[in-house]
Amino acid sequence: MTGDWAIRARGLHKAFAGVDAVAGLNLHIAPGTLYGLIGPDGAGKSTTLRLLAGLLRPDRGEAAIAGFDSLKQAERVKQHMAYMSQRFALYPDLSVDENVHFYADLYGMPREQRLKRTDQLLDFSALRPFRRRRAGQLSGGMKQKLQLICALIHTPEVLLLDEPTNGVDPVSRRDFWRILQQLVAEGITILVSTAYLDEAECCSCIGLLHQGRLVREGTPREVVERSGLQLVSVRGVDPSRLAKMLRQHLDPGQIHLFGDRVRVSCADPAELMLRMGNWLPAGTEMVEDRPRLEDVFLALQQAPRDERLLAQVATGVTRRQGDAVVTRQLSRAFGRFTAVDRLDLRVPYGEIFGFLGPNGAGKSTTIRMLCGLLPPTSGCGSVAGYDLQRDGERIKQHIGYMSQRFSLYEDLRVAENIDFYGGIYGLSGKALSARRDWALELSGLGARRDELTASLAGGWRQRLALACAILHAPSVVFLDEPTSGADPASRRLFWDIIRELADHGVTLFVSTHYMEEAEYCDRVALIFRGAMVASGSCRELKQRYGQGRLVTSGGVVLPDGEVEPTMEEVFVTLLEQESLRDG
Amino acid sequence: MVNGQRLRAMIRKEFIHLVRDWRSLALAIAIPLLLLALFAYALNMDLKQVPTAVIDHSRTPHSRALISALDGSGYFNLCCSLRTLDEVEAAMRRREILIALVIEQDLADRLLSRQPARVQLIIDGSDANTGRLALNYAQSLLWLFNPQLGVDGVRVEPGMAAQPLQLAARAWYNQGLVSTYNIVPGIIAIVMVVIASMLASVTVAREWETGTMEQLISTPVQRLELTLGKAIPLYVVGLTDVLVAAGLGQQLFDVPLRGQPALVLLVASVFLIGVLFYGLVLSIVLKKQVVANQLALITGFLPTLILSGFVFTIANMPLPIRLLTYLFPARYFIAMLRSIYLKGVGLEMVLIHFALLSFYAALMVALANRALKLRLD
Amino acid sequence: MIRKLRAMLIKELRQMLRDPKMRIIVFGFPLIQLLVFSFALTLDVRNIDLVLLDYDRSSLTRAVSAAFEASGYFHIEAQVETSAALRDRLDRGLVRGALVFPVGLEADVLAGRGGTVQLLADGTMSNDAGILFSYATSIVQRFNLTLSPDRPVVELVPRSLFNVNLDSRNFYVPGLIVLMIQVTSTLLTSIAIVREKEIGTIEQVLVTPIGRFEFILGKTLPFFITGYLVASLMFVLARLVFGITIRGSLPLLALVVGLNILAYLGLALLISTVSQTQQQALLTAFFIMMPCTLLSGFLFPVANMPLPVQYLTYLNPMRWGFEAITAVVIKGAGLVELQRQIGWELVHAIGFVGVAVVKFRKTV
Repeated sequence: MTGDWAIRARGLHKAFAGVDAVAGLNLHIAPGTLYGLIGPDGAGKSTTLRLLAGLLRPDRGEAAIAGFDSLKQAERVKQHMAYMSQRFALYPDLSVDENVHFYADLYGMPREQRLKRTDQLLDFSALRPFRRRRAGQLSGGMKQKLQLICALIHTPEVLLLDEPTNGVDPVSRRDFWRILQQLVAEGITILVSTAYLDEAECCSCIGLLHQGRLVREGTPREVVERSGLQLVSVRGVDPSRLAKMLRQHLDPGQIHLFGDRVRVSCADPAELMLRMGNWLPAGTEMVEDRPRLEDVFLALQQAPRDERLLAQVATGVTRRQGDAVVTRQLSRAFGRFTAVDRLDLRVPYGEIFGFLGPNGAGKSTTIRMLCGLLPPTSGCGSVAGYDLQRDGERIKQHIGYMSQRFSLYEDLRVAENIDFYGGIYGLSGKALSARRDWALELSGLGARRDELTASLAGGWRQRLALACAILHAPSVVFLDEPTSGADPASRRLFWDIIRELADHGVTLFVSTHYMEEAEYCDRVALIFRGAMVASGSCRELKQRYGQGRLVTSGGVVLPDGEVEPTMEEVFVTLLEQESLRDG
Repeated sequence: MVNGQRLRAMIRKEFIHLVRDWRSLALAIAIPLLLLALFAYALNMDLKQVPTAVIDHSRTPHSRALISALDGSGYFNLCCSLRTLDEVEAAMRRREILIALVIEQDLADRLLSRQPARVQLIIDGSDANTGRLALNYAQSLLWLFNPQLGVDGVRVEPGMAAQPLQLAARAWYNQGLVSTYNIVPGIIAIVMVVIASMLASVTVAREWETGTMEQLISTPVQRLELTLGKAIPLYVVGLTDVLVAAGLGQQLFDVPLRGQPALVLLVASVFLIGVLFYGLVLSIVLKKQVVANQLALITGFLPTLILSGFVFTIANMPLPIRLLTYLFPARYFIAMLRSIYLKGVGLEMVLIHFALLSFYAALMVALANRALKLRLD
Repeated sequence: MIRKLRAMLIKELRQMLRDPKMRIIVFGFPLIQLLVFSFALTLDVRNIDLVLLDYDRSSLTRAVSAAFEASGYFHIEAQVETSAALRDRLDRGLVRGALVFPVGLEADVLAGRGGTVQLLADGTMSNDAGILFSYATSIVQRFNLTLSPDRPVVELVPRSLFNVNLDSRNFYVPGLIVLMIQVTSTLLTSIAIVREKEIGTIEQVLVTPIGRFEFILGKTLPFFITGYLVASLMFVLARLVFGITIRGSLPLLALVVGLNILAYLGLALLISTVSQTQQQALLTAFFIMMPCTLLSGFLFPVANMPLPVQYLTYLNPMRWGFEAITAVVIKGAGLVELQRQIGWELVHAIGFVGVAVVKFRKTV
């Protein structure tokens, strides 16, 4: 390798339709660095990676990889680099082996060398048992690992990864990052973009991208320290009410309700605690908290909390009492395979209920039964007071369903999507136009109502999908991995909306394998292989299962011992226990 | 320029795609069989037993002689005897008869007085083609009938009256005018156009739609490797179709192959390359499976059926349309196949067609490689 | 019910017609193809180039070749001296036939012995060759009449009902419209459901209160509307460009066209329901469309088919559509005369849509 850098960008510029995506970016990354590129949706992360890989032609400036110009020496660059795109980009009808060999051939790997390397990589990623399986039938995590293997097959010097862990469950995410750490140890330079800041904390260097420019750079610790940000964590009996109270007294932008506590950012924690002590109810616990990268990120982005918007969220919802979702011994079998095995659930109105489990645990089968799409083979249950066996069609009138990936028609405009869903929920005329205005307000897309949905970034798309799913003001809403791939600010606003809905008596049934989403839930249930493994509030589960495992997703032990386990750690522990029990 | 290992990898991958989507592959092979069966057993434009009505106002030996001449030919089926024109029209509306012969009262008188006697043939013009064919047959029958008339206007022994000029008509290359002979080459063409351009039209677009293209172009793969890698497996499928159709044509329908089999393969290969790369061009330029596929079908199926000379002879068309047919390569291909199959000619006799077809194929290959961009913008 | 349907309808129309390329495919192509093919479709044999090999070189042979030229069908493209040269021109496909006059033809005829004119035709297009023979026979026989005018003859006076000039365009244009109706209604519809399955949006729609019947109806209606629209445009074009008027009643035409479109839509939805990918759906649609076209009676008369195949055509929606639509347009047939066709159209429309709905309920 020539020089002292593996990746270099100088004055890189790229605009799409007159809008700058990357605006004068300078980047110097030394060999052997694990560099994390973070930034909000639309900050230019993907464009940067594509420019570096030579897939896009920059308007100005130059990019170089491993000493070769990305544009003029594209062929050489491609030999020395591997790029992994954000979408799953392997061939689903090819098997694991076939995909790997295809890429090995494209990189001109000789046969013997390749066999050794393939075995090594498959072991490394624990994919060896699945060599003959079609890529389309792998779980999300395995798909990502396979894609990584295909990128690594020719032992590149530089690895460019574009949000590689979207849609991946925590166990796989952990494996994935462990692999990255080992690659860096072998001397490979990795540039990875991510929306998950806990991942970014595992990088040796991070760069924060904002509007196409690098605004912060350094080790994660340096970035946090240089921000001068301080945090106070407030914990009480009713965190939701606590957050409301804090918002009345302080700048709402400072307040973040996360799990069972409220995090307040400030410049001087001691002064703030003194001030809050005056009006906070007795029995409220206040501690100074360690700010994380996410807090720096949010402070920088300064996403204003829109109180007016939140006040409208629950318009039209009727508050109901009792249990929204009840199941008893609910089971569903497909032939001899039991997808859901005697499941008991009880979710009252006004609760955010997290339904967790790895891919293939039976989450979607359960949701399909609860939505009236699939009749159960045995057991019974009701949703919004309607029986699952008999009233499948009636249930649909009273529920909303949102899955972030699939719910919108990309070739329809924003307002057209709303009109379509309004129409099939039986709205028309004045009622529809009132609801349309409401939905545009909720999704913050009033000014962009005539844009094609395909052009929306993650966060907007989620809010639009949610607005479409609750157009008819249902009292039970099912959310399927609602925030995957959105940036932290969008995620935070989204959960504020969800909380507001719950406060008005709506039940939110969240199915996810993102443990960060689980933290926002009042109560969670973990299912594995069709059966319930554990349930309770996050706090309870952490106390029960999370002790003594103070590691973050990168497998790095944090220096200060006073860190609470995350839900992710609880999840991994539980799954490991269950797998051991089953042999 | 082309790296063997990478090309092989592309080809292997595309083959796997083909095999894994076995339903599409099965359809691609079944379509020529179906077409061949249809054309061989069910479809022909030869007239037999045209349902015919007769209105005989004459009722004389003269009229009966005329009627039996028509009846005995086998082309006409005198299914009913009617009395008025209204009855004829009603029967035609019900599709019971296609033509009607009207013989006037004065037939015998006019024949005896050496005046031309007229009989009327009423045709259901709603099916103009069958009507015209029927008219031609009737006309020919009458031309054969007239010389056999004696001076009394009633038939004399056949062959007695000598004609000054006789026409000896012979068809070369296809003595019996068997329609399957020209149909088999036509089917080969139509199947290849549709299958090849349809299958090819989705390949690149699908990679753009699913996002695999972005990954693919980040590797050292070259344009020609990509297009060739996609075309070669489809070429094998297309050539299989050709062999199936040609083999069945020979085995089941005794279509003679008088020319060189190798020449058929050569011409088919060039044609196949042309239509495959046409499909690839659509796929590369349009980047959407639906649009590319629709366009491939629309610009492939009907034009090849109608403008290639397969069913409708190009020479019979008006000039602007004749010029238009030069845009469709199936035209050259079908003309060459017919010549090689039935006339047994060598390449030197179809050189112009071959040159034009090769030009088309080369143009498509060049266009595909020019249009394909190994970049996202 | 109405609101949900309307929502589906608007959404489908928007999705279909947003892309300008699709608008061209849906509305432009049928019209362009109708125009081009209407000119191309003809079985009238014209512009027949002949090569002449005249061994006799007499006034008689000149008179006969003049008679061929005067007929309007034939054109003597070249005169050659040897049979090898004649063969070469036929082999190359430069001419469609050859006229050969043997030595001593004129002498034989004048002596009353009679003589023979030879016509060689390129038999590779068998239909053309047959027609060419019949034209030539007429010319020679007519020529004979001028040689011996004193013989009794029967002349044929053709008269065509419904289509005075026996213009094949009057027949082909309505037929092409029927074919275009089939292609446009089948192709696009066949991917309607499978596309939502591929993208995944179908799941989201099915958790809403929309019923499966409403969903499938919502998928059908937009194509029904565009199909009708395209059909109407084609009839207008046929009127303006080719002067083809509709003899029968418009409501009856609307009925038979509507039933026909409905049958194709049912068939296409069935294809869409059982297919896994768009490509499969399109190939299957093609696999079905092709025999439907060929066995409809449009290009090849049904009466000429073997009996078992004729029975098979009962299952072909295009056959009944073709018979009914052309009968209304060209012959002005009424409801009573078309009861059989309309009956079968009804069977197809109800049958295909019904099966599609049932299959959809079971599989999705």
